[in-house]
Amino acid sequence: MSQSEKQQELLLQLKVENQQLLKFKQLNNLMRDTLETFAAKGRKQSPFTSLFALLHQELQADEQLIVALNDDETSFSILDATDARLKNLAAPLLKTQNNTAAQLHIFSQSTVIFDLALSPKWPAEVRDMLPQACSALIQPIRIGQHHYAIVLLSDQPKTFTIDAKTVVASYSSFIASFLSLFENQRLETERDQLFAQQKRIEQSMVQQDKLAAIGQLAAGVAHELNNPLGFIYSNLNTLKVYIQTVQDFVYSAYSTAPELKDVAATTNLSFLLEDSFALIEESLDGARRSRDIINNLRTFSHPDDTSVSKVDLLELLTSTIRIANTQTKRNARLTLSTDIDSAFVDGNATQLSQVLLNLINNAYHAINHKQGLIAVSLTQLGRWLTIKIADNGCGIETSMITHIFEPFFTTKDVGKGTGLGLSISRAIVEQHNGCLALEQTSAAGSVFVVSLPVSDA
Amino acid sequence: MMKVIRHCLDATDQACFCDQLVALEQPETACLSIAFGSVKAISELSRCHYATLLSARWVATSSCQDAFSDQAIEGNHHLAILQFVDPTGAYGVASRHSDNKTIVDDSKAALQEALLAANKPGELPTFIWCSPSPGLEEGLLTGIRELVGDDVPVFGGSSADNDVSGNWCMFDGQQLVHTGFIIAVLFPSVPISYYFSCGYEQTPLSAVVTSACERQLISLDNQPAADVYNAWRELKGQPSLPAGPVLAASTFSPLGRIVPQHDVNMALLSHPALIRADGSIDLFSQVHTGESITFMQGDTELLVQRAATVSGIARQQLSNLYDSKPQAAIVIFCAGCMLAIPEDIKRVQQGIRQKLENIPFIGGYTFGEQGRFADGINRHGNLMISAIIFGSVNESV
Repeated sequence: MSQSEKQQELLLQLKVENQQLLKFKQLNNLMRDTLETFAAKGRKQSPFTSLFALLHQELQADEQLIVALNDDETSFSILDATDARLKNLAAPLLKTQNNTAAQLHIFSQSTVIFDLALSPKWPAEVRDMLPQACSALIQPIRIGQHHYAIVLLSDQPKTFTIDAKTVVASYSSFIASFLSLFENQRLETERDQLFAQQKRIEQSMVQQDKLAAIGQLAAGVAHELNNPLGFIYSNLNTLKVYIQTVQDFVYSAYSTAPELKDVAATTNLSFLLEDSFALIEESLDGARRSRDIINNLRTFSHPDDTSVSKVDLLELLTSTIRIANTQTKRNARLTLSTDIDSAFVDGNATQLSQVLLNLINNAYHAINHKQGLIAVSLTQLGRWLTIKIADNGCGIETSMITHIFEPFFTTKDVGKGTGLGLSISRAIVEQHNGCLALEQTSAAGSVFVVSLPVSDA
Repeated sequence: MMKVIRHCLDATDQACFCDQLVALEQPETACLSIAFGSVKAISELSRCHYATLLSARWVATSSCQDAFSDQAIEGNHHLAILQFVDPTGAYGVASRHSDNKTIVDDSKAALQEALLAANKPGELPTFIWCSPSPGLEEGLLTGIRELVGDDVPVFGGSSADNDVSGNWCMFDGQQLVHTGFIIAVLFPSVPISYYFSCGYEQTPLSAVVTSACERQLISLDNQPAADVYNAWRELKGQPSLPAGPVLAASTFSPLGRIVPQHDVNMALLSHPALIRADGSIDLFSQVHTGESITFMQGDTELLVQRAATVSGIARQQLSNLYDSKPQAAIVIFCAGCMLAIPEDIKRVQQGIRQKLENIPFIGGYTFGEQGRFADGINRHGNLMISAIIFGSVNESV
């Protein structure tokens, strides 16, 4: 071999090595930028945003996707994409068999697709979303038991080279780091959600314990108070009859012996008799209120003491609003709106009516001006019927929001409310497999929501 | 784990040849078999139905005179086979009877068919192996380029016979093709390295093609091509060649098409086959108007050394680029070169064996060579030498 031939050979060798070095330079750039990205942005930014930017810079991909495969690799979902429309897109995978009859899908091997139109394995769902994509580079990434793939797409055919595939394959461990970061973020979010859920459950359990204790106490108190109250009430009525008899006798005596009037005047007997009636009436009123409280306590303790039937909620709402309107019309306009023709739930009409009356009364009591408005609406979403009671009252103070469903908690003046309305209402609604919640409250008013499942029948 | 197995069978007797094929049957059918053999050996292979039991897909190409391998066997009719058993790879083969008018479209259609057979439609293969009949090479490469671009290395050798009488043939496992081609797409689980070079030296004598029609070189620097060529020969102390067949006489003095690669000019050889009475020269590869043509010179020692050097470079690249150990190799050696050094061809094979350090290899003497230089463009040339080495699995793949 001549000297010039040897030199040419050497130069060619150097060219080959130069190509390799260019490839390594590209890879080094990617790795360096990746580390800088990690160092600069830490864990605050979505990890794939930086990854996509780096790969776009080095490999000129028009679109990029990160794909997560399900455990048996029969379907995939898109974790993130440069095109936001693709995020969370899920689709099945078309599998084919290789020489060893192993099941292969498009994301199972490092692949350059020079023309996506020729590849039946390319998922139709992605093809529909990105019809302009002509060529692709796919690199599978495995982290433990989880399988992912990064997909680089170009709007031009034959964009990605075998060298680009080698670069991405070498870079895949870094991509795995991004995925681990994402996994960690996801796990952190999941953990926070679980902690929050645990806290809610614990609070709920405390609340349930509290409610159970109160229920037991209420049932016991109601039982113990009911008998003495019974004879107090009965005796007061009897006493009222006795006093009436005494008064009748006194007035009869006055007619037969008028001088008794003077004697009675000196003892202020007329006042005593009249006042006795007032006292008895006040006592009876107190006894009646006590009886109502006891009944409420019993209802709170045993909200299921009643029969269940198919209830026309629309009719129930109409009649309840009609009854409530007799009280609310003084300060507030009560409206009902709905976009459905029929609404049936399985439940107890009396109890449900009580719930609605409670909520309307609460709304009314929150209105401290003359332009009151209580808007009741009924809507249906799927198998759920939702009643909203919105008022333009004074709202509920933030510090009180967490307590409003607790028994005996009331913002009303002493004697005006028992503090059992909302807690009883919630117990009733939950007994109907529904839920009652405060949707929002502010100085402009409050909105309570009752959701009940549609009747199965 | 991919295995590449080499066999070298004697095809002198058909019955005996079939028995040898049967004896090769293994538990796993090979994904692909690449083979070279004499025209008789390829014909016998096509007649033996055991061929398909041995391998699902074949690219068997007729070699001028006989195939060669690292196994030295007596006789004139051999079939040298490389079997690829690669459970995690993918391979596809397609063939076409074709001609100059349809070759580009046929090439694209066959490549798509091969990709489909490999279960990889639309996917870029790692390597393409081809076997065209003489005359269709450029069209075949154009079709491949139009479909997948130049990113995939394409190597192969044109089928040959012993006397350029057109008896060359190819077998794909299903049919025998005389005028057409076979194309194989490889998605192997191991790395592949390759080197494509000529065994000749450039001279300072050069001219620009001023008129050409496909493989007919009409004029150089506006002079009849034969006049310029013969003037160059005389300047180098070689006799002028009269009109008529010049294939053998021009073997050590071919023309080289200059392929600029950055600051290096590589020569893609074009072998003069016939000088016409009008002063034009028929070549074994296409030339284009505007191309620079140089006068090339070679000798026995250059050719003997060159095959070993090319094999050594390919082997070194496998180690440098992929840190992989070689399993097996294919060496393509131009039939024209072989015919020019009949006494020294054993030395060529020895040199290859030595450089490849006794790994199994097969080879054929072809009427045209396809491959690519470091510029990444796949080309067809004459009097060229190429070596393709299949590595072993490692983490760099």
